[in-house]
Amino acid sequence: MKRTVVIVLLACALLGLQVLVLRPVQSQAEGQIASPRDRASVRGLVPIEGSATHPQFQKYEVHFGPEPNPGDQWTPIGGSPFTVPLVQGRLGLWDTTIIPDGIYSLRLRVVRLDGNYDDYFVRGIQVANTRPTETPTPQKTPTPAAPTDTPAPTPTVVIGVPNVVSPTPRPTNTPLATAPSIAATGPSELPFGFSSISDAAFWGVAATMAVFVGIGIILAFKGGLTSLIRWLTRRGRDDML
Amino acid sequence: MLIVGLGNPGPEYAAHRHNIGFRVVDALARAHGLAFSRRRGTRSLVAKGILAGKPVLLAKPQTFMNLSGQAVHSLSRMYQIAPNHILIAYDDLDLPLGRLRLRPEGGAGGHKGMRSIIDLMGTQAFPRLRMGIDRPPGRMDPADYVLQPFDKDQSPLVAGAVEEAVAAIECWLAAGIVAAMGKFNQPARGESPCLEDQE
Repeated sequence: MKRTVVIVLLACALLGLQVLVLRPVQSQAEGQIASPRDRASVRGLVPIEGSATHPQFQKYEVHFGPEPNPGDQWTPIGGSPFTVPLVQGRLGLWDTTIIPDGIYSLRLRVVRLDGNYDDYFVRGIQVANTRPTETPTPQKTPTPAAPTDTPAPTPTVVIGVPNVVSPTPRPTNTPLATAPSIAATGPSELPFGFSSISDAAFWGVAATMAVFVGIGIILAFKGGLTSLIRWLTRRGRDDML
Repeated sequence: MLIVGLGNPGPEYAAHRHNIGFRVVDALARAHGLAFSRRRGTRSLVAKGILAGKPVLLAKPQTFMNLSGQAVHSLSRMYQIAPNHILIAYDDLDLPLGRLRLRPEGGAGGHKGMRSIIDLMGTQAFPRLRMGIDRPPGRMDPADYVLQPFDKDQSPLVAGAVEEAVAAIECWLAAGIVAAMGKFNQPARGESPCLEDQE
């Protein structure tokens, strides 16, 4: 009984440590386009909102490109690149009046000091300047039991009033849609002073190994290693009779 | 000669009633200055020595109780020991605490360690020394009972029984099973010497 309690406590301690160590890895955000969303219909001047941060931030760029884009041709939106990191703000302003109507993608590229970068995309944006904006009908999803997966009507941005978003309800943030919560965390919020994901992962693994090695040493010194092995390979009570 | 004490391996089981066979061979080894060590291929802790002028192998199977036969079978094959030269010491619920019973052969009597040995050896014609541990009190499950340590007030009786078992085994070695039975199976033993029989 006593041994069971000790084992359960050890397991809880290890799980707690894992959660603490992995938390910064999971919550670290570097880039996101919050608006417009996938398959949104836009026209006029479109504010692009979201986050672009990184512990080694150098700049971010916002591009648009046609869909499909076999030539991988991307055009920077006005003002790009931007040298100030941004959390939940306006990444740029996209003038869609100078491009033909059609389907486009947006690309946010967060460039680090070492020149490496991460890309974030919004797909299927419909630019419709020459006809009335249509609010897309929510598409039927293959799994109606998961309402959070059903796209809600997307916000429509009005020409000349870039900051005003129509009162169409936005999709609810659900546990599945982790991007908004991720975007809320910037590099300054990283716990334990980790400077990057790789640092956090490294120290997480190192801490876990240290715990196991520590337990091993303690057990070895107490002569419990044999008992532990025996316990791990023990048989059922019927085998002892 | 091979003397096997039955029990479950591991310090957590050492004090259990079911491990009294281990205690007997431990005491025998101690009395003769022998030390146990793991012997490859035997699945047992083994101690070798000369007792009563005969080469003797003491063994504690490191299988769990219900697989004791694997260890005994391995030992008998490895050391070429005939079944009638193998004595098994084990606990017996049907004997009062402190009572010993030597037999030249017999069944398993519900003991799974003995059942395993009989099954693997293919015979039940080997001597055994049963050590009484009493019936469980009230309606207690016998399985729970044998997997518990002896009560504190039973310790002197158990220690005495183990000492007597050592003497019985030495008598078996020196004089054979009939003489040992005659001396140690009596409820109230006389002081008759352990004389060699005609076995």
